[in-house]
Amino acid sequence: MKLINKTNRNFILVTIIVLPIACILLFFSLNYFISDEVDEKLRVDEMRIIQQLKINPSFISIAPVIEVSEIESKVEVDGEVKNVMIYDPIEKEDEPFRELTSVQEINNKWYLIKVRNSTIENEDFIIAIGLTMSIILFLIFVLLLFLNNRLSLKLWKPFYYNINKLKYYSFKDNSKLELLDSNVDEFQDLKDSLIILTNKLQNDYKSLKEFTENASHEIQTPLSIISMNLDEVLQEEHSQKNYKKLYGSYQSVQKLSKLNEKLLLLAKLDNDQFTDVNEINFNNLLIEKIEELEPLIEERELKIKVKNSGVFVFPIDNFLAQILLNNLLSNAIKHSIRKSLIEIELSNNSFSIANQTEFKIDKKLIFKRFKKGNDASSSTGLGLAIVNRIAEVSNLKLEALNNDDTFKISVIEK
Amino acid sequence: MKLLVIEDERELRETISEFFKNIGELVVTAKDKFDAEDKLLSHQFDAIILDITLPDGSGLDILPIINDTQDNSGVLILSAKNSLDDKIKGLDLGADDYLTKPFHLAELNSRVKALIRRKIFKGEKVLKFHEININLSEKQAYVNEQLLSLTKKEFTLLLYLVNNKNRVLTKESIAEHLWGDNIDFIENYDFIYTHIKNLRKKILQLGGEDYLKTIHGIGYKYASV
Repeated sequence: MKLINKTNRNFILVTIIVLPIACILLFFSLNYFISDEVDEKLRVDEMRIIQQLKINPSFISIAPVIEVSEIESKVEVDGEVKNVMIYDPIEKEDEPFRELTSVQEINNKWYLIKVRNSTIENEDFIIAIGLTMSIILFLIFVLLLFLNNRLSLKLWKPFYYNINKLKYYSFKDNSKLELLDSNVDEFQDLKDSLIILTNKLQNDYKSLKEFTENASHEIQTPLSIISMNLDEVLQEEHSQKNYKKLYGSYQSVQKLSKLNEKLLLLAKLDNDQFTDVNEINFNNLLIEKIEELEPLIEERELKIKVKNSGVFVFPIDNFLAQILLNNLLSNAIKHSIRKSLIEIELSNNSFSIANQTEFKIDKKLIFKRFKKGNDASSSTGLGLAIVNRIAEVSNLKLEALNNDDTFKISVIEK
Repeated sequence: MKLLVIEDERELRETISEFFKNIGELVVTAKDKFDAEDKLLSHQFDAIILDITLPDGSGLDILPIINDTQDNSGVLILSAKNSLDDKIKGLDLGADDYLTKPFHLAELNSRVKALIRRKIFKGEKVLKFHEININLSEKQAYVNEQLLSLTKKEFTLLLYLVNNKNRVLTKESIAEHLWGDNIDFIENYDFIYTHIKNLRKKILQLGGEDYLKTIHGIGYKYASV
């Protein structure tokens, strides 16, 4: 959830709770103050009536607001203001009133004075005030929400831009990471830290890449020396035991140099050193490669079926295309069950190689470096990792399918 | 045949020169660019084995000097880098072949011999081993003057064996020579046996001697009986 939505949600939630409470509080406080005012007014009215009665005993009542009546003797009243329902002859219905009843002795006469004030008007008044306030509060809320969102969007713009940049940033392309400045200190801090971090990582990545390539180069010469010397020593006669050991060492050196070559190839792929891009006809190249691998195919007594449903021509570095097919075919041959069938199918924008295998390989691990179909095999575990890198640098997509006893790799134009 | 080996790694230089001396060639060595220039100015060579990375410069810079000082010598570049750029540049500057480290001595020998044949004998050469004649311009082999009908691979195999006669050739080296080193052989070189067997059979059919010896399961040797 976006931060802005999260703050908005909280803002709205708080407002939903607070706004009604504020309105209710407002209503009750207004109500309280107004009835207080009304009560005071009633008492003042009473005082005025008393004043009037002193001067003019024949005071006219104005029902239901003022009722003055002469009484015989003193009657006990509580002198409190209370709510009553009185029939209003003008409105012709019972209406709520505040009523102050008092008994006064004026000029030796007892008067029962009832002063009333309609509360219905007060209620209307309170409702009107409450409603107005609610509307104002609501408007403030909406305005704040709107402003907040607008402001946030503006403030967060560099942040989102930078996040987006980071998402698509790769150390592989040698460009520096360029991020937007922000006038928010926190964002600026984040931006500066990211720049420092990526620069450091990029340098590390670069030196690591160079290290791999340089190390592989440096290893070649000692490997040559070991290999040649062993080759020379193998020319001489030795005891069977020593012969075995010598040949074992020789084979290991050969394997080591193969491994080194592959690592070097991967390093070069990472360094984008293959740019001899030509339109390669995979239909033809596949046939060529199958012929080259004939001895391996014969040795495992495999059958190869090529189905040309189309012609796959794709721009790719010539050397990489060869390696790609070599590795895919070698892999298929290597992991095939003896005397089984390897099926190759070409279309206009893809080709696939399917072989029968006993191994179950985790699809996610197939293209990882040094992951072998079976640990006992003498392969380097780099074949498909190289295929994967070649596909990546050549705009090809790989799809692996491993069900039951069939393993199928498809190479598809992106 | 007179060879110049320009290589800065002492061990490598000595092994290569030792190898060629053992098969009866005359070898001069140079350990750096300066040394090489010196030797090039004072001698004529049939073939020059040139390492690209030298302590005092690139081996590629020696190529023009070779052109200036040598009348007719083949140049084979050795490189630790399997770099296409270096290869193209080297061949452009007059080198004749290119070999990437690490390599088999037998492979180096075959390449140098092919180079010399191309350069000096202009390809007109018949290689002789007892009753076997290999005509390199025709790309045909004869046993007792009768045409030996070989596949392309068998012909290359026979040439490799004869070029490296009296030498134990490991299965690895044969496989790499015949199929190149880009193929992952999965450490299974048994398929070579088929080709060896066929070649042997064909030579025997024409009344040839079987010079092919199997050595301790590691490879083969072509040697006089």
